[in-house]
Amino acid sequence: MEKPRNDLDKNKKWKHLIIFYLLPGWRIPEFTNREYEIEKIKSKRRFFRHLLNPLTILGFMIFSIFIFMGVFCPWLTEFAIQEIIPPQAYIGEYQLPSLSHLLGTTGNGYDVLARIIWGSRTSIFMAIIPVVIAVGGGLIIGTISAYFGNKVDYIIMRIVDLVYSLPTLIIVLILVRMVGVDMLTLLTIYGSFAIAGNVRFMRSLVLQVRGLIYVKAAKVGGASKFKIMFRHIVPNALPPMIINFFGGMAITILGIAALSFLGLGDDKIPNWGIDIYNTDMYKGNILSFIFPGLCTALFAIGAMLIGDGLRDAVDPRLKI
Amino acid sequence: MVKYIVKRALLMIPMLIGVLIITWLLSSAMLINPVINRLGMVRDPAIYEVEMERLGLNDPWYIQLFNYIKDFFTGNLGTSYTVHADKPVSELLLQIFPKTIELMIFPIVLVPIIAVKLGVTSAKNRNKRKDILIRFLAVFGAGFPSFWIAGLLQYYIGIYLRDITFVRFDIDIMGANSFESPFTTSLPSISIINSVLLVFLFFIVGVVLIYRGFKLRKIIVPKHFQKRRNLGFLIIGLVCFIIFLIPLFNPINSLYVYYLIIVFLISSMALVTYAIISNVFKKNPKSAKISGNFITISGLIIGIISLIPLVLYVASYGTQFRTIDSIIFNDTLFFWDTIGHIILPTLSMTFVSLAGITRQTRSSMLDVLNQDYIRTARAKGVPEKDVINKHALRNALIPTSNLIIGGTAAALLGSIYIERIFNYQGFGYTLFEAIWSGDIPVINGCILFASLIILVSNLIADVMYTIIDPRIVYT
Repeated sequence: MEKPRNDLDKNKKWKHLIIFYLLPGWRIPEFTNREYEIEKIKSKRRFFRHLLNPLTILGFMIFSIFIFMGVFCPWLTEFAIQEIIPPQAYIGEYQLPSLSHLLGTTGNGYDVLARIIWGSRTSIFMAIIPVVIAVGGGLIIGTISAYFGNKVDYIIMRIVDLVYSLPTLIIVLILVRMVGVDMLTLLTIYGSFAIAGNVRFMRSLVLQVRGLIYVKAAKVGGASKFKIMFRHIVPNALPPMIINFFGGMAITILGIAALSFLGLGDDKIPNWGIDIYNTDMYKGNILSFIFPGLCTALFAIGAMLIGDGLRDAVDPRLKI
Repeated sequence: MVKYIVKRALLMIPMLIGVLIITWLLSSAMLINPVINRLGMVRDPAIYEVEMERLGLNDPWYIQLFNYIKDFFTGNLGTSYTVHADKPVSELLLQIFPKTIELMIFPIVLVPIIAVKLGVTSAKNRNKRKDILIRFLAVFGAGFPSFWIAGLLQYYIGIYLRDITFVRFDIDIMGANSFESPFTTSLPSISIINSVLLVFLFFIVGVVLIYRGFKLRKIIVPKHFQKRRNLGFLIIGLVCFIIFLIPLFNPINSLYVYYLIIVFLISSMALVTYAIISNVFKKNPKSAKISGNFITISGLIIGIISLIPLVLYVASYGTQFRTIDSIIFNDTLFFWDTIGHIILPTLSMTFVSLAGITRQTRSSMLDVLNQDYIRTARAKGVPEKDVINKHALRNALIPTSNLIIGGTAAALLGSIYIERIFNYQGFGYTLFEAIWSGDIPVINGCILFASLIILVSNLIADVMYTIIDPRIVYT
């Protein structure tokens, strides 16, 4: 008795796909029917093979630990979020490690471990929002600049040059001092200054794609400019930008921790940089300096490793 | 190439004006009232009004902006409001910038060398123990925040080590602040930026003349000596002569003007004679030799004369570099104190900035080592050392050179975090203090200075590109 093949595919589809991606050369008899499709996704399998080197896996593990901490933080600590941020909680003295505070408390008396766990939630947002702004803005402006060329390109590139010639960190410091240390504003400012670099990068990518035949075909076919740009050009120039995304995350998390260290961080939310800022090195709990910094670094290293692994997978020629 | 450089240099002028306007807008929109910060506890409205009037803060914004740009082009960057009360900004920059260079000279010089070496080693022994160690170090340096590393270094060497050795190992300068340099007195009253620019300009004129003179002497006027180029020399010489005439109509009241007259006279004479002679005696080698000698000697004189104010300045006011000053003025204690302050920040700075260049060198080196021409070189029997150092490294350095120059420019501006951790009053520290207290002229001056350095370094990076990789041609 024979089962209809479609049913089998439906039931075991995901299992088969996972095994297919992970084991090279693996094949099931029922799959023969779809060999045409296998050929189609063979490049995907190659991508996964490249992706699965030990360092990238380490990066994914670090990252998933932080995401786990961020999602399940209320269950991981006995401290509620109200007990570790200023407006609600009483500001106390620092304490050295004890049973109730495993890593001691910060300079203003909040539990370090709880702040690290709650802070991972903040850090994920801190890493993602500026990069989304930077990469998204760079994508749109860079595509427009490269596609239209001529005057538009000239004007946009001169503005980019101008931003490039400014010392970014100093300008960000002034702007943050100007508009206040609210976290969302800070992230927006930080992200919008990183647009310039991405514009240049995206422009160079689009310039490579712009002259290809399928773009010309789309033009002849009468597609609108918007459609040519964002349906035909952008998807083909996208993979290097996605790698930029992870590299940007590492830089952003370090940069915002550094701003917090200078005293320009939002202390109304659990924030690793603020813990470092509040620590008195001479007489105080040194653990509240070490561990938040360590977490920042691990987060950045995780993002960096994932970015490197993705770069290897997308472009096997370059290796880091 | 020369055309491209001149074009880029001219393009820097609108960029600079853009930077001027942006910095002014930003710093005046900071919503920090500098006058209140300056007066402190004095709460007298009359004094407040007088201060506002004196600083010109009551004027409409366009007049303030116009005054600011006008002041910049006359070489006046204003005086500090709050932190360094009433100190001219140009003087302040001259004081803090050497300090930052002193701190950063070790990273700037050594980091590219060490990092390229590390990157090459790790690419050569790929996936071996050395490679893994270097990659680990690189990721460590790139991932850990610089202030965290610096803070821990300061804590464990400056504080913890002293405590566990019962003050036997006590270098209290490791954590403490350094005192003011004993050699700095108030600087001369001539506008410093103007004089520095002039000195530099004439130094360049001298160098160019020496070069031209040698060329004229050696070769019997090469073909590319065209009339147009010499016309430029003629025009510059005539302009110099006209400028020389101007002070004759004014009452002369300082030694500096006499000095300027001499320099202008000599340079105008030399330039004009060069322009005329190189055209007239085109076919006469003997006279070309004589005139070449004359031009070389006058160039030498100009070069030496233009360096005189620099020498005088150094002799009377010191170089502002603390180590050099302490050697000149023979102060051993101050020398070792300075060195002691520099060690830890330099160490942490070096470690942090190693990472980026190492990673970049490694990746581009791996990319190059897979190329066909490397296989060809190996096949024809080139020693492995030469394959790595000559065939591969030259090509691998192209993307790295950009990073090195950018890193140098960033390092020249100092690291705010490290300077703040170690209380080292360099560029970053002063700038941060200025931002914190709303010291607008200092902020403007510092940002202007920083963006000038960045602009020039971008230009240098582009020029370096063509030198390293001759395939790149700019038009």
